[in-house]
Amino acid sequence: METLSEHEAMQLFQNEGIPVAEHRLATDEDEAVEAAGDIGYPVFLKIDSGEVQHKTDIGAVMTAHDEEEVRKRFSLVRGNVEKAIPGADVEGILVEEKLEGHEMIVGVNRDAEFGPVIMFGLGGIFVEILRDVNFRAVPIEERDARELVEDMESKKLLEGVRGQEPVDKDAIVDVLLKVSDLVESHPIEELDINPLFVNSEGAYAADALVKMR
Amino acid sequence: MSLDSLFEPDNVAIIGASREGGKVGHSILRNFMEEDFGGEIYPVNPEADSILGLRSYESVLDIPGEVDLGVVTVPPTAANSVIEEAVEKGVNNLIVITSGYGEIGGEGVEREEELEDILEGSDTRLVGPNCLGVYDSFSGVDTLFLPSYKLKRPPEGDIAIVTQSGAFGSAVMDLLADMEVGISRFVSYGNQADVTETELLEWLDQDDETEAIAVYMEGVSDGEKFLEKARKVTEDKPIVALKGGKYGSGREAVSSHTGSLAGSYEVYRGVFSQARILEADNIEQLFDYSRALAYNKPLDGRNIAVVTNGGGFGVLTADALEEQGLKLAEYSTSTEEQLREAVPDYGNVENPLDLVGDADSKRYERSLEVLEKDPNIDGIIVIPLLQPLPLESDVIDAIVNFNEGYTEPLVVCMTGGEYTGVHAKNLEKNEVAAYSSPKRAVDAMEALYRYGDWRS
Repeated sequence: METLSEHEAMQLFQNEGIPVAEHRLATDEDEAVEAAGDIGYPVFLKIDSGEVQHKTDIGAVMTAHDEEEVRKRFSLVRGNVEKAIPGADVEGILVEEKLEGHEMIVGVNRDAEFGPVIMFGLGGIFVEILRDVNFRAVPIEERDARELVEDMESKKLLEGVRGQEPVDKDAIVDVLLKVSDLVESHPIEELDINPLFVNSEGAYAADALVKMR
Repeated sequence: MSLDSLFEPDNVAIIGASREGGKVGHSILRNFMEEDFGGEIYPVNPEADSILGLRSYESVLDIPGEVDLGVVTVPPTAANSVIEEAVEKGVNNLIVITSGYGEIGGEGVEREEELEDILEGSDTRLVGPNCLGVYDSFSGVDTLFLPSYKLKRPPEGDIAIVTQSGAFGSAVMDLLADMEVGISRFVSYGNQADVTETELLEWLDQDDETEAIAVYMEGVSDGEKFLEKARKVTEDKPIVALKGGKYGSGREAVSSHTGSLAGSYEVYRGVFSQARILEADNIEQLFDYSRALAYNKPLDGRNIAVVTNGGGFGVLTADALEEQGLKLAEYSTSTEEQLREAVPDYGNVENPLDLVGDADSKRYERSLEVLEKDPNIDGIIVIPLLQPLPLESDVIDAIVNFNEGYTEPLVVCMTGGEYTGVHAKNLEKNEVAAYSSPKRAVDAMEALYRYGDWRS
């Protein structure tokens, strides 16, 4: 089983037409600064490596608000990874747009009885505590994708609370259908998009873990 | 080969029929002789010339003519060889009661593999092994080896039962018989060496006697096929499922969030929704839903009228409706006017309609007739509390008579003890679902709504 780096996974999503957060792979500080300038501050600096799966836990993701922070944190992120996983195969640092919106999760797993299944629900760091997620067997139809959104306990969040605009549910449905297609056409063992940022404009993958069979 | 002979065989061979009372092969033979089974019955036992007055055969191969259904009750060490003979004979369907196969591991697994090899390439279709088999209230097929004084058989009816567990099946059959709930066909399918739960669902889909299917399952034979076929079945007929083994242990370590959240039960819940299968939380709910769905068409809308002679029950029902996302129907103006005539001045012409404690069956009858005409009402919950003196047994007849002409869903809530229970059974006999609490009645209505909404 091979785990894709986040950059590779993002590429796979883009090829399938799944919107992703704007990002660029930088191999040195100067490239990172240039990318951050183009994308616009603040940005995330994330290690790009198939060998680092829970990036936040080891300090392999940091936010940078200006050029100075990009330079300082670029080497900090690399150092943290080297400490946690010595000799890890690293592609570079992914400079990524910091999006606004609700954090959802889209996932794929292989079930012993039903084969590939897709999951959708409330994402972010509390996903395993709140467990507000639902599953369907792949492939899904639009009806199933819509129900994955509507079956959420906390779906009111998506409908706009405290003056927020409602999120673009159609965009979520579209992402779910495309992930289902992706699983049908590629040998994917496991997949996490956490978070999928959703807002009134659309739904965007802002992190990716993809394991190929 | 079709599965028709499992339920409606022209004749049956009891392979392992026994002269000794108490033996499985004796009980099953007796069942066929005592039920109204219309076909020929062939006991097969190499050591007997006749059993219970019937001519016995040494082997199924000695039976003249075709054999439609074979029921195998011999010990595990002898089972595969008699099955092989039955296959050679070209028996259409076999029910193998014998246990000692895959479920015991070790030699049992080998025995089951051998059984699968015997069946390969043959036209014989086999249910089991390790099962209770079939009970059919219409044809008289009854392979349940448990005596009827301990396991009463339910009357003819509209609900089919498909169960992976024989113990579950026998307990609920006895329970339903006591409730006067009718069933069409019952199958305990055991290890699924050949015929799968999915094929049984497909057979029941085209069965005219079955209106709703209640399923108890712990796992599926083939998940993808189950989903594909079950969703076709639910386009015609409702399936209500109770899933056992929700919290299986022994999952492999996983690194993704999805992996850690994807317990087998969470996936089942999703697949049930995808297949439009109504999931029941417990045994009571399995049959609460099944009864409502078997006796009624699905609900077209959320607007429910509630009629009672007990104010508190109206309030509890209103609460339960709200919790389930259903609504108290708003009466049209003419309904209000007509209800005022049907209810005394001190009654309350609102929804829930409180006919008050001195209501008799006439008052129920008149009110229901008014509600029937109101297009704003999608279904009715009738709550006749039988404790007050003025409400007598004839309210049951009034409800049954009304329901016969009423085209929308109607369920009854009756809370009480033995006296009430007897009346609930009378409703059930007439295919009116009765529930012991407002919550159960409303949950059943919600199932009718969900199923209707899915199909619309």
